[in-house]
Amino acid sequence: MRVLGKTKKRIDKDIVEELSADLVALTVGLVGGFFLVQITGDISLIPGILVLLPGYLEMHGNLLGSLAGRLSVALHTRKIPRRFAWNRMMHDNVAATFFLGVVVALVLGIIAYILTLLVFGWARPAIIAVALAALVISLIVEIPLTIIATYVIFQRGYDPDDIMGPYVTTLGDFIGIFALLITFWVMV
Amino acid sequence: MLLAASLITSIGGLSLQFVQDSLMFFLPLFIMLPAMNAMMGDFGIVMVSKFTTYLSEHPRPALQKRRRFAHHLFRDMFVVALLSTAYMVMLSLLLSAFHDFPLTSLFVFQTFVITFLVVFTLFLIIFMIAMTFGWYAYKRKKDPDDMLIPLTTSIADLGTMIMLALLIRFFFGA
Repeated sequence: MRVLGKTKKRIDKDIVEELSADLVALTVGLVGGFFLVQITGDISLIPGILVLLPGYLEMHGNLLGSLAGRLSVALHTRKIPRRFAWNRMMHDNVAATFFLGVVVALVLGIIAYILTLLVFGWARPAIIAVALAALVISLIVEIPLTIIATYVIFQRGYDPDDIMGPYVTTLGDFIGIFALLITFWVMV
Repeated sequence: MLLAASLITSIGGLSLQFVQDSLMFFLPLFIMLPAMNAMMGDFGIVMVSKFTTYLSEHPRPALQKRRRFAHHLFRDMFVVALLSTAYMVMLSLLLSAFHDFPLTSLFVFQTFVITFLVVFTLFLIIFMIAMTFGWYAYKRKKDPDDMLIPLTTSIADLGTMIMLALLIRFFFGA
């Protein structure tokens, strides 16, 4: 019964952690959606930007979610120390995340260009440059924030697996959209 | 896997480009779109991450133990999904009121139904993918986080956009 009691306590803790993170992420996401309505006229000036947008935003969640997941496993299984230290594992993970991001941004930009050309007959190669530049800018900010947040959450006794998912997707949406807008205003 | 996920999501983005004008007509759903995509992606990330951590802490667990874990995870995530979805719909309706969008009780009801249908259909699909393919990846000594997080988030994005488009047509005839 003591074991069941501990399990029930852990389950409730998981629900509270996940729900808290989700509600914060949803609020930021909905406010982002509210502003997206305001700026839809501006970003529609690049043909095919809406083809790029979902994949671009989702990519941040994928990259940062995988990075946070690997760090979380390493912390739980004590493959890395609880206190932050720049080590081989950290270096390899950051380099891999950045490299993957660049490759995927290029592919996304090319796919968006080809799809809009084939389906709508719009040809605007700028979309490839926008995708790449926006991603580089956002990853420079997002990767350190993800690593710091994973460590802080773990050190405070919370499970990063419960919280980092909503956190990285919110971070990705927020910083990703700003990076995209900055790139768009500079380049277009 | 990331490249495949990018292709899948771009196809979803294509459907979004097609229905851009219609979607703007149903403002609460447009406001909700990024948040709903993110929420479904979050569920995928959380499910896969927790399963990966469980497998790392309990190497090669027996089927009964895996089932018990899956049962607890499903229950936890279901409660979170239910409450998060209700909150998301209410806040999007409130925000659409700032754009002077006319809200009728029928429209509010239809929005709730559409959103709950989309969320819980995709929730079930993502859960089954996370548990089935997570175990498959683990047995083949692959990291489920690397393989499944991009897959579940792209399926969440694509599924959300397609289901939304279909349900808007069904309920509103647009």
